[in-house]
Amino acid sequence: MELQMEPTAPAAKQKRLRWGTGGKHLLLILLCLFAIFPIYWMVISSFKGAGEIFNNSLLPSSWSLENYTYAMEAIDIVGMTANTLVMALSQTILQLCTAVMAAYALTRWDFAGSKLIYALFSLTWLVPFQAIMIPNYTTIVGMGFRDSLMGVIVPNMASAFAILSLYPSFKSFPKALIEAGVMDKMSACGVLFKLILPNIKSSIVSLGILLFINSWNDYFWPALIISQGQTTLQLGLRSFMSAELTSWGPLMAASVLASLPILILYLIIQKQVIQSFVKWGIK
Amino acid sequence: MSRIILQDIKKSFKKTAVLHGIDLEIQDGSFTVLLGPSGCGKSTLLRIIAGLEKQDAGRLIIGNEDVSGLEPQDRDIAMVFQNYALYPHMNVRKNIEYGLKAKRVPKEERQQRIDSVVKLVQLEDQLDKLPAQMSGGQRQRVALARAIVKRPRAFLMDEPLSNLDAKLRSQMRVEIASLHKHLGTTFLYVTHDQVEAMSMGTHIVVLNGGSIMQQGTPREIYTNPQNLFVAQFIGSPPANVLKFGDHYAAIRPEEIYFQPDVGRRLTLKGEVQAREHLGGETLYYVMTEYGRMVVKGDHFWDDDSQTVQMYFSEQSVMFFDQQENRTEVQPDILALFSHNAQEAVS
Repeated sequence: MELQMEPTAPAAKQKRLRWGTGGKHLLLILLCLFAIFPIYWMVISSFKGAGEIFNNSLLPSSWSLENYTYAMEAIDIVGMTANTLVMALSQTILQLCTAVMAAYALTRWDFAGSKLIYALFSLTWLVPFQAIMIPNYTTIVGMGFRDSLMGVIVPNMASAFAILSLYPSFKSFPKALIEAGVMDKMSACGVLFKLILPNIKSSIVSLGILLFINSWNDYFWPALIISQGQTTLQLGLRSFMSAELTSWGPLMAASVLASLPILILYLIIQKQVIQSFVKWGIK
Repeated sequence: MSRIILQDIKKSFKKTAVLHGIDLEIQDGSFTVLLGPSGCGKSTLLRIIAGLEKQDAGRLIIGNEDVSGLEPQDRDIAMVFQNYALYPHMNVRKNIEYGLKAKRVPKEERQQRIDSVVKLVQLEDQLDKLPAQMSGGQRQRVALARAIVKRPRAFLMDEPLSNLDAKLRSQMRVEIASLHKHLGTTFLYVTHDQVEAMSMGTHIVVLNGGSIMQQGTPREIYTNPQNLFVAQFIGSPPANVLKFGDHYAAIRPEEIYFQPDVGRRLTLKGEVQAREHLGGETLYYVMTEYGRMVVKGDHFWDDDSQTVQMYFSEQSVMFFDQQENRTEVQPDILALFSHNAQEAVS
């Protein structure tokens, strides 16, 4: 009996395994479709004519560029892209700088209150944006930054999320290496720039990508600060929507254009983006 | 002159005292080994000398200069770390060169020094490799080269061989010892391995519980332990210790024989409980009426007799008092073992 059982057992196991992976793949494919469909819908809707826009057809009957020309005329897409780029880049760089400095200080020196500061950073991260947007708004207006990119950027110069994300990389950096550097006459700055940063480059880059995408997609805070001045792309999209009428075609066209830079960035550094999402455990 | 003088160095972490006032003079050009079990404070002492740890009290003098308050980089010493601590993003050449650049050594001299040091540690063909592409032994050489190239007043080494396998370790022991001979600079070497201490050191400082137990040449430490701790720490296996009332008697396993001979005037009968064949020699675990003893002897593969007679000389027995310090010969204890040597020989 036992002899007969043996060869069948692995086969059954293999079969079960095949069904298992098959099921997993099916689920993944469904989830992929789920994620891709809105993008697909946005793209094809942007090519549909005005009469077709509420149609359920998966492809436009005729491809038209009128939505794009309309959108380009209606809003200053190039200018807005530039504004968005300035905002996203400066926020990313500033957040990275402050995060690196903070994480380095917190991990390298055991100064009085360092634990308290770390706890405060963690708590800041937990405070929802809605709770601080009004105080932030009045502060920024008081500083005279209303309706300008400066006003958007200033409160976003430091990010608790960025600090907390970099903290473990700094914490786990070998102490002996830092000591070797010190014995080699490296200054505190030297240790940071010549020793630590080159060795945690990938963490910095992946966090940077994440911060950039977050800033690029930011809508609510810019919407509060900017009324007509240096509008960002995400705000520009708003002008196609109103209580009475939403011009879906041009909105979709403008949305395609707005997501294009991020999409291109994504295609170029796809691997790092995925890694950074995996690394920081988001989405 | 680059002797290192420690005066009453004290250190505590939180409330635990790690070093209880260390006084020590490390001779210029010596290969001094700080030896002790883990937690004895030897690494902390080394780190205090390096300046990586700050002493709570006491003075530290290197050469003729009081360096107690100086930063590590201003002490003109080099350190070799346990896990090498090579800069992972720099190749071998840059790793070795970095300290020289920081010292503002001109480029030509840097080149010269690197060339001669890589020859010394046999890394000539490895200069462009990254540390991650090298074996443990090679990384250790890079770490040594990085220290040597700076031409410091003294080398501090924190268990540099503990990450290597046994074969490589014995090879590196020889190499480090010959490096010391070649350079003639003070080496201060921390280890818990008494074989490393005995084989490489010109001086050994035995530490336990944050205090110096004994210091001296390997010969003095081995042949003349000042207290029970040293007797039991040095030697492999360590000395056998038997307790007699207020006193202890200790005999080294390699000084006990199964054959009588002239001078082996003492004897003891025992029962062999276990044998450990090491190839060239055998360890016998023998139970006697005074306690268990280990005997290191020739191997007798086929001999499995249970009862043995052990012989040793009067000089091989060391005595310690109740405070575990070395004390004079105790005739009444010797009397317990004595027998007529003549009789035994004949």
